[in-house]
Amino acid sequence: MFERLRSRVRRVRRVSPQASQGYFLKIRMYNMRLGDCFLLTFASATRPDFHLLIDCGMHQRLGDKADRLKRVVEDIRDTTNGRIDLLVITHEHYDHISGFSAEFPQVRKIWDEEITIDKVWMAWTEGNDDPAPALRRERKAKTERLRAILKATNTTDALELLDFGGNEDLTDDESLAATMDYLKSIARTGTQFHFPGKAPLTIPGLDGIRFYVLGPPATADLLDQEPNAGEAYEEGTPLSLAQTFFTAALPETSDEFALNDYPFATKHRIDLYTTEYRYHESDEVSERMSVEETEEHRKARWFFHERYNAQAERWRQIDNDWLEAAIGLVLEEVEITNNTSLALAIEFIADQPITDPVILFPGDAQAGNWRSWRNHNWTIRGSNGQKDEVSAAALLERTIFYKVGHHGSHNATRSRDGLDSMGNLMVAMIPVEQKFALKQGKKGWKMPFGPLYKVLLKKTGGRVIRADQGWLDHDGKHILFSSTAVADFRKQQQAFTDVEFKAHLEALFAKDDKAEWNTFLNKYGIRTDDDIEWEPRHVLRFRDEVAQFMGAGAERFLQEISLSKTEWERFRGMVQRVPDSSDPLYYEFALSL
Amino acid sequence: MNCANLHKGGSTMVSTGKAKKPSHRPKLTPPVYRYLRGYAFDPTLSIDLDTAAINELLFPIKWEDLEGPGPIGEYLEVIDIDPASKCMYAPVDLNDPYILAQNGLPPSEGNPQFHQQMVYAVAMLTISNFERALGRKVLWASRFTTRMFEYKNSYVQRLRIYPHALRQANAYYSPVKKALLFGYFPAVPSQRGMHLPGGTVFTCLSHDIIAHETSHALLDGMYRRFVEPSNPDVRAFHEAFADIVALFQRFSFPDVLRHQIALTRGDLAAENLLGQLAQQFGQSTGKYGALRDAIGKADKDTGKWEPLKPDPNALETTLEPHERGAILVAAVFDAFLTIYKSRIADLLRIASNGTGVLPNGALHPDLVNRLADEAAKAARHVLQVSIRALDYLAPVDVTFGEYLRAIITADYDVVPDDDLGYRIAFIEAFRRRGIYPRDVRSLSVDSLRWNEIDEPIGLRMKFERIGTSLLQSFLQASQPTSETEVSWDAKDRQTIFYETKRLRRELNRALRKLFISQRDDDEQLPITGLLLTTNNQVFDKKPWLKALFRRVRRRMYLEKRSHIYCKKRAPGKSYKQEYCLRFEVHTLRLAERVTPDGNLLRQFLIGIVQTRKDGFRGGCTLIIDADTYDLRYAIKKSVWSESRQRREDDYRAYVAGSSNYATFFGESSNEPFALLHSQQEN
Repeated sequence: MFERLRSRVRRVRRVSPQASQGYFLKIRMYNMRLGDCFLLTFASATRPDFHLLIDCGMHQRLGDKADRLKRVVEDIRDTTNGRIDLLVITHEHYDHISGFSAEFPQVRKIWDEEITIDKVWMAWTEGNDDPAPALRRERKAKTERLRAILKATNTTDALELLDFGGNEDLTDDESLAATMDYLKSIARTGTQFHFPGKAPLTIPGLDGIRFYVLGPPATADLLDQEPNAGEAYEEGTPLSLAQTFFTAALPETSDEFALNDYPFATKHRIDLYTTEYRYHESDEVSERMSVEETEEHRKARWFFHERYNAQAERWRQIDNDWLEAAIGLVLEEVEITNNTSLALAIEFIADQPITDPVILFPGDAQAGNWRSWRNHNWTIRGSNGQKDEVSAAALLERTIFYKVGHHGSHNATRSRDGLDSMGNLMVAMIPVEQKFALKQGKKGWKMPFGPLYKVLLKKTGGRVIRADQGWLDHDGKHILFSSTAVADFRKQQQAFTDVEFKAHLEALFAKDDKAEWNTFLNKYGIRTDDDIEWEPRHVLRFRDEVAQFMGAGAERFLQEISLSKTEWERFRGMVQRVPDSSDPLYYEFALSL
Repeated sequence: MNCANLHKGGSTMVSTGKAKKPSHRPKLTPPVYRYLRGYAFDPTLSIDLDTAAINELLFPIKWEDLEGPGPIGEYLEVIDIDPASKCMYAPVDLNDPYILAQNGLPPSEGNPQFHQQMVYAVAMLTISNFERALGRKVLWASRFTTRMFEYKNSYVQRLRIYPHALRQANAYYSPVKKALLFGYFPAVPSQRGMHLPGGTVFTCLSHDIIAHETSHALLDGMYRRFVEPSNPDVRAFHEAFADIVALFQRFSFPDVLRHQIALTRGDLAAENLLGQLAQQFGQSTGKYGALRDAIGKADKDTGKWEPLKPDPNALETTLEPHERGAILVAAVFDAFLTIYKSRIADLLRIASNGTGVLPNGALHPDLVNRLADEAAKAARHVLQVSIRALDYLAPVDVTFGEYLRAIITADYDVVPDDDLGYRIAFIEAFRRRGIYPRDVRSLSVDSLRWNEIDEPIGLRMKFERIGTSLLQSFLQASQPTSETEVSWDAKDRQTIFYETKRLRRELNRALRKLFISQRDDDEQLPITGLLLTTNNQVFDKKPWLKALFRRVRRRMYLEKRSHIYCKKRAPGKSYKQEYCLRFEVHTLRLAERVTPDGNLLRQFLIGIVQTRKDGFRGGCTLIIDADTYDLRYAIKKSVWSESRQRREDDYRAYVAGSSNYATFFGESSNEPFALLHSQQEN
């Protein structure tokens, strides 16, 4: 029903001659519980709908993956008529690309046979130019070793984290690397790997829209480290700590086992272990250990036996404490991969460049990635030939829609030079199911992070759409906490949808007056043109539709958003939850630009 | 208790092989100090020509008869095990004649025995600084265990030190293991630092890191609730305090001080090594300049050093414990500079013939010596007042503002007339950084000092009553009564621990008795902030007491009380004791201080903590004059403060997800300091 109403709206827009570069943008967030899948549809009067898909995946630890992914991909197929113009893969994490994995053959079949993908964009870190392949290899090796250590020490909650990169039950074909290879070959016209800071990307036929690549940054920034002036990192240095750590943790990797890895000369060593252990060491080491133990060594052994190994002293032993660093390395690994996210800012060019709205998809970029954005400046040639400087800060300032990174966790949304700068933010979407996140680990994952969620609600005036809750309900049941901003917004909205909208409609139905209709349509963002003759049959049909949805309690799933910020008054948006149940397939936010 | 053994051990080490031969040498008293060589800063400075001369110095360590190699002494045991390298290193025997003869092993990065000596020396130095300031022996945090549903609180004699425990750029104090764990790691290659790229950096060779971690352990031994992050200041305070101790401990090295004063021409606010913490650690983790820099930091773009300008708003936006702690460190350092400047003003006038402008060129060595003396004296005072102020804090939920009040009060109690303007210097420095207590009317010394209890209606009587029984015995126990009996101070620490534990239990009982007939909401809550009376069943049994309560007030009171755990009924005990609301006598200490006037100031410090069923804690430190039994101060954190609870809830919600680690693992309770040092937040 809503769809019909929507097509009506679009039809009205399409015939409008002034809005040549005007778009009707629909941002659809599929409900992957914990995972990203965004379908953007750019509808305009001048060309067929352009479909942009950003990621498709669910978190590995979720139960209903195959079924849900199938439903989602089928819906993508139906919505796009089997043609996706552009697929953006942000980074290699299971919750972003598992929808393409060979693990789900039925889903893969739909991709292979029923959907064509025109173009694929990925970050430079997935490309074949140096140093990307080396970085990927290094990361893979690191993950494998970490997994081995964590399994050996039975650190389950850290192991769970590694599942962002797919767990070990996956076969080679199902692995994320294989999925990435598949994705690189899927596009009809090939895959492009993008560097940040280059001239903004445009797509032929998609006039008036620019894609700015903000991240991922250069190597050193992948990890959250602040490089200093005059300091040169050697390639791969951030991993050097990991290297020594691994050398010690996994002695069987004897090829890297060198005496240099020990802090002191051999003569100071008194080996901890029994002879049995020695045979497993490399020749060099066993030779070293066969040196006869001196009197001092025996004394020292006795000392440690008494002071360290004695029953009463066991509680102070530190045999495994140094392995705690593994947890740090796991976090580092998750962070590095998140920081390889292709962060995109999509700009819609309007008449005045100052008010060009931007929608922001940063993937799961974490602090290092965000921080690198400020280095970029773009020179834009405007329609009348003049040059404009665009900085990342300016793009953030003009952001009206924000896909919240990494399911709303603290570190994937930077406040300074980030969310703080988004003065015009209207809508934010968080692909998260809090209930599931809280069940992970020993203490639960903090997704979304409470204080961040609060700030988002405040900034958007309550327009935060979450996969598990969608829009705030009128009864306020889904509101986690009540801040005054949210309360005000609810009051405002309730008045608007319930009373004003209804009353207005009823008045219209009674009068059937063209002028009245025009004011109504203008007010609620449905632009009309004076050329259109409003015939009674139009009105009747529209009235039927509206009456139908009003009668069905439709205000619960269709909510007109009033965007009160002065500069942006010309935008109107709607949010839809389909189907209107507690577990909808998707949420759609529609915006006329 | 093992004194005899100790002495035996001590004498055998001097006598060599021929033990049976009667000795004709005169009986010697043990020396005051054992001198041990070590790095004043850390090894990097030894390879820099400017600083090599001052980087190696002799630490004067209070002599103790070591129990054995390790070193293992009264306070510390160094166990050098390196699980990451699957080996251990032989313990150093500081009593070896060869080592004794040369004041300890020579500084060397490649010799693990020297590392053991270094951690021992610096940790001991920190401990003796604490003891001097507090006027009593320090105890480590006790160990809590549960066995068959019974809590056991046992004595931990020695802090354990593992000099090579970790393979990471980290060092921390483990409250669970009562141990310091130091890490080592390969240096990050950088052009700027003085490190061999890829060479190994040992955190256990840095004076600051050792002093810092030891201070964590000492502070934890005094207030174990300061590990709980109930507000942004608590953990930051732990960090800041440890930094303050490390920082001012450096000023006790006269050679270094002289060198630096000559270098900076008396202006200690200029960039100098003394103000920087953990030189090597910071340089090798790829951050130019020191890890935590009290007075300034390197500019991000130019790499040039700039003094830190006090920002009154920084406190509001800085929540990361180290950065927040740095604000407090800067405030204390600023106060020190003011004090130092006022102390040397006359010297500079003399040296500059009244112009105030020093002649160009190097300063006269005599002037440098005098300036160094003044700086050392000022630093000693600041360190002492900083440590002593700990006694004037409530046992839970510390804030920076309260620390300022504690400093002012601690200083006031010892030095009533502030002719050198120390207190003003502190207030000024804190004010400049926006550190205010929440509940004072103005920033004057009078209003910042903790409120003295003027009219302790009834309470004074009460304390006299306890005083005559319990505190008296505490006092007696801690005083030498005859020449044969050793004083409290000379008693060994284990006796102190168990004696205090017993007295705390008795005090708990005595306080309960004391307050049993008290109309609680009338009197105690305003004074102590806690609910200490019996619960309503007493009223049921004593109708006449019930009549005292008006209905409404009683209901309010009962409502509050229902949030607090009660003591369970124990058969065979009088009802008076059965139904008490639970509270814990957290600390009981006797502080003895000699004021500059030569008076002896003796105070009982009683810390009480009460925990609500929802986990929210309140606490109170009662400071009672040991001679008159007057309650002088009651430093309270009310167990009913709704605003404080709201702030705490907010902060805990923030902490719960404010780092990568916290997002996935929650806030760590097991090794709180490990995280602070390695997981830097954004």
